[in-house]
Amino acid sequence: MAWYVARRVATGVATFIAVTAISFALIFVPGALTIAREVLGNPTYITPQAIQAEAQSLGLLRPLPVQYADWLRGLFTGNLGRSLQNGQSVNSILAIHVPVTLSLVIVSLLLTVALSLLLGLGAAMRGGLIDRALQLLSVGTLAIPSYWLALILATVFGVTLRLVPATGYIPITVSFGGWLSSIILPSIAIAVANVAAVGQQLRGAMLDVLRQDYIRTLRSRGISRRAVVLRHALRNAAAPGLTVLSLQVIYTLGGTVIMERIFALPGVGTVAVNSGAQGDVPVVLGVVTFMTVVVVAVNIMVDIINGWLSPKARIR
Amino acid sequence: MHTRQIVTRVFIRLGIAAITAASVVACSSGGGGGGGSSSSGSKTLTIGIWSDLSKPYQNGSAALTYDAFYDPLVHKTAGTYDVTPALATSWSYNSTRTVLTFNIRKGVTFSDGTPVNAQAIKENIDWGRNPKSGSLVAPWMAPITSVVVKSPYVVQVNLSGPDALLLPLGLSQPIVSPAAFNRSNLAQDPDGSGPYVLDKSGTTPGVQYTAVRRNGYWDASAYSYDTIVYKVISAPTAMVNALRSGQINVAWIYQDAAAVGSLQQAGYNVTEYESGWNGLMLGDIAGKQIPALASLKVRQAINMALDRPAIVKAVEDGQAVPSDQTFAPSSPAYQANGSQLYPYDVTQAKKLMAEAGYANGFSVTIPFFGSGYQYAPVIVQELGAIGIKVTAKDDTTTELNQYISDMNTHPYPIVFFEDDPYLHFITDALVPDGFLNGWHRTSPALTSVMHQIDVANTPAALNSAYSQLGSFVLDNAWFAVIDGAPTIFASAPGIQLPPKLGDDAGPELSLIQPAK
Repeated sequence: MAWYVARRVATGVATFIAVTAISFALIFVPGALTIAREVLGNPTYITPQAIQAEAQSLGLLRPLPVQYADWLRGLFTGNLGRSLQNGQSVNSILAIHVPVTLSLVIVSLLLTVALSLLLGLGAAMRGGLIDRALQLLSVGTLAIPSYWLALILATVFGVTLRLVPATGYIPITVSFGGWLSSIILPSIAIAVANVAAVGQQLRGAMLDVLRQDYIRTLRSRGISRRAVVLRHALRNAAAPGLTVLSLQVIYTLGGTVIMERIFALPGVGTVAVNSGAQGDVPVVLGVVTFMTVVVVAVNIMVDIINGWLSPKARIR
Repeated sequence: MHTRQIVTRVFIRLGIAAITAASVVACSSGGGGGGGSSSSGSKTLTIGIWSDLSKPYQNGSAALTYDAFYDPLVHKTAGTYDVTPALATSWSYNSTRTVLTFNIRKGVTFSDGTPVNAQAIKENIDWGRNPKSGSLVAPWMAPITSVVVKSPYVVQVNLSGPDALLLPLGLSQPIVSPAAFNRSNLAQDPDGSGPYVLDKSGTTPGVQYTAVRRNGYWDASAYSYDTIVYKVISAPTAMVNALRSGQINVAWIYQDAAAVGSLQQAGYNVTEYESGWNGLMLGDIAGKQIPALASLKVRQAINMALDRPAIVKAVEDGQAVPSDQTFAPSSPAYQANGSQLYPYDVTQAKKLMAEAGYANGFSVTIPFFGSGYQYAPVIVQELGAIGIKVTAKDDTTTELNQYISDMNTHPYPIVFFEDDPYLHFITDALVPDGFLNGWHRTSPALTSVMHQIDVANTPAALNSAYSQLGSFVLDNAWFAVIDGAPTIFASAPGIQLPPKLGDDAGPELSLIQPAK
């Protein structure tokens, strides 16, 4: 198991280097002088000499590999640099915005898991109304865009009923209840879209597993139905669902910018869009770092959990 | 135990957990709140802003935020082109209006503790008029040749010639502590002498800024609120939702009939301020590229070929005001009879074209910038009706600065543009070297009118000169304006916004008051 984990981590590190290097190169496609002009506020009549001087002072004219190596060196010491736009340290920018996005991802993930288990298990084992509800939900969430659902939730629960804030984010350090209330609507909008996919996967896997001979054998040996379902069947049916769940997490991470705009949440997605438009290289790389680390970590965790659930997976 | 019973128990437990969580949410600090008055009688105003704070001199439409943290040298009066004292308590011109001397208010300091004095004012003016500093207002300060400190609180500004627009445009900018000029985080950590100071405990950069009253401010009574909270909300729907749920009190709303209607129905005050015009700039009046444009009759025909109300209905869904003028109705340059000058009349337009010798029209390529491209089909159609064959160039994704740069380096004879109806329009688009005047249009009559503006020494004389300017622009059909897009502000019940604006992109902070 240790060797399995080590291999996964090493792959993750290689992925991180590749993604950040490619992102770095892509940021400089418009050219160092264009980035410098954006930093100066893109005024109409700025002289070419002023742009050149700004690019020089920001170190943007150095060879790209040198700039990337400098950035990597800073990364290893925990220094992600400073925003070219306002001088704020990238670490402090991420400290403000990452918790918002992470809150959104984690709460929506928990809702997805809870609802998927509820519906997926119920559909597989009870069938009937619950199974039909899951099918309907799957079709419905495919047809209903999550941003539309988000708008409806914001209007009904935030604006009309005023049960929760319609916009904005309350940090968990200020108030747990406030934090939950500020994050629950966008999390529900995201989770509804994910539940169908994960629930369907779980349903299908459970049905396959419950038909297996060993399940009948376990029951014949006197093991309780609760233990058979929760300890044996679910364990073997979880792997496909976990994989789909990890994909949903990654998809959610990239799609939070829409929810952030609808609910005015100051998350990483908004920072990514703004800093990308402004050519704010350090901030863009900081965001890429965060996203890459999360995606790699999620993949590693899912692989580890799958490996624990099913030793056969460790061989690959 | 039967499988069904196992699953039922799981459902029950998960259901209890879900209900408990929902109760926590419902009982927690929920919606609403924000803005309004806080305890112990202090008043808080919460304003939604579209983007993060910006550095002074680099954003012309950030008055609502600059007003809190900065004082200007002179204050531009809403509703007029006049200025009133601010950090300058008085000023005077010499007889030729080429030397402007200011007396600076004593006893005022910046947030960093350094004094506001003649030296600080000089450094601000020098910074603002230097294009290399990134200042957007440098063209408005072009007449300034040098700034001299005569004494600790007297500063002299030397000019190349009279310029009436210098005070309301170039010298009404926020004054920054010179020690903070090159501070990279100046935008998010302002350093001025304004009525409010940044409360860092209530501030999250890029998200929310809290401003509290500055102790001992020289004009504290002009401001009704003790605390101003700015919330950055960059999406239109979220802005409206924040307003309607009480999280903010005041916001600039995008033109959206549904949003405006919903706010009005909910009892919010919606105020439309005249702002901006969309239309064609007829640049090649010398006829260098399109000889036909040298003819006034052709330019008049272009104006009369445009059915403005129909265009507004089709393109802007009725959310703009048909107009044929570049100046706002409240401006002394606005011509009250302007709408009668160019009525929609295709027959008369064709007659004018024929009289000018262009009965068969001509061909022209017109670039359409940004959202202006939505006007392209109707403009192609309506100008086509009088023989002008338009090829519309889609510049939707072109950066504004590149578009303006192209207007100067490779000017098209006619361009579609959107601009403000404010004073800087004169400097930007009417004077021969204005950066929007790529063809460097000029005329002796215009030069004479501009001179009258520059030397006018009474409000009546100034207004008369501006009126002549507006008449000149309209009579000579240098533009074919189609509509004016209002700026819409909404405020919660109990908050009063000024009914009119003068030359600003938003209401002045001091004019936002609790309703009486």
